[in-house]
Amino acid sequence: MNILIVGCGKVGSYLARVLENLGHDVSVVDEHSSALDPADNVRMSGFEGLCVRGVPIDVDVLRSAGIESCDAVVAVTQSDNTNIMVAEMAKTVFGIKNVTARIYDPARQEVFSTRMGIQTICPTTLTVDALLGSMLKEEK
Amino acid sequence: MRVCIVGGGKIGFYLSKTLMEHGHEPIIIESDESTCQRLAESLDFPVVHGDGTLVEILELAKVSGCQALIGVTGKDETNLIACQLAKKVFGVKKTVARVNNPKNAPVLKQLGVDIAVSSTDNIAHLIEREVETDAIHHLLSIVGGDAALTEVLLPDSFKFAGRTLAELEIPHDVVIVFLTRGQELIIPRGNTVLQGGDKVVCVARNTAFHDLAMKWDLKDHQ
Repeated sequence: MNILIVGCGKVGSYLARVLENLGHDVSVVDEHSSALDPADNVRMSGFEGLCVRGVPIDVDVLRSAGIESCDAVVAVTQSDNTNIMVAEMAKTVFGIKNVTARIYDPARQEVFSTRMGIQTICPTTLTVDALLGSMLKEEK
Repeated sequence: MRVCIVGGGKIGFYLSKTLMEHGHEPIIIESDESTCQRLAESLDFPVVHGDGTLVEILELAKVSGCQALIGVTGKDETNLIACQLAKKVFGVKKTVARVNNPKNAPVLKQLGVDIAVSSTDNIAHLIEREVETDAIHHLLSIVGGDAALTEVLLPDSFKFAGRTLAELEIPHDVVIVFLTRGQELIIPRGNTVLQGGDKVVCVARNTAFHDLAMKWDLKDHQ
């Protein structure tokens, strides 16, 4: 699969490497060059995919990262709003079906997953669920 | 009309003041605490401190009772999400977003914002027009600033003086609405003859003014 990852922080760069090892073609976009530079972000050393530095909510930046030929887009920048906008642009402007956005705020996630039809991941609820699970297991 | 404004910077401040002077009820949401304090001291309407893209904050600002929401922060994604939440969650009828990156104007419209106003684009075009020639005067912005009603003063040495409108080269995105010659109003027809000193009022897309100035030779002769 051709996969575009927007946001190259801890999650973005780790996901990029995992997907690359699984044999996918991966490109990444980040606003900060330090996130893409192996000297600053160790996880990116040896990454062979395309790295594009630029503001993600810009059709030309997304185009230069090859969004038009992508099978899937993942938006995992630090900002919920950027992730939502990137996901909506990928879906509506570029017609990509497999789009996922990370949204930290549970209330916002609920709105955008149920009413806007984008796939979302909420690390807050995932963490809380996991913590509850392990705590309740202790109780038993 | 109750109007919620997200973003209390320069645009948010003057916009809300103008709305209030025109009899509307504005409410501002601003995320920076000291800016909020300053706004609250100088304005006579509610200022909510918080992130205007959070459902809880929009609830606090009673957005469901607003007829319109206007996003004027410096971030396009913030303006978009505020507008979308207002529409989807709170049933606000009209949403307007300020666009910082001109390329995002069509994108925001496609994603459901009713009106996307590109401040960068508008100002750039306005200044370009003023710098290029003092013969073109901006009268009114229309359709969110994509086009404008303008008055063009034809120079005494107008290149096409004595020609009829039908013979004239007019850029595709320009339409002449009327012209005045001294005190006389002239409703233009194909056989109307233009003269130097005429004031021509036209509607044009912002992108067409440069072309018009070139074709009609309206550049300042220094």
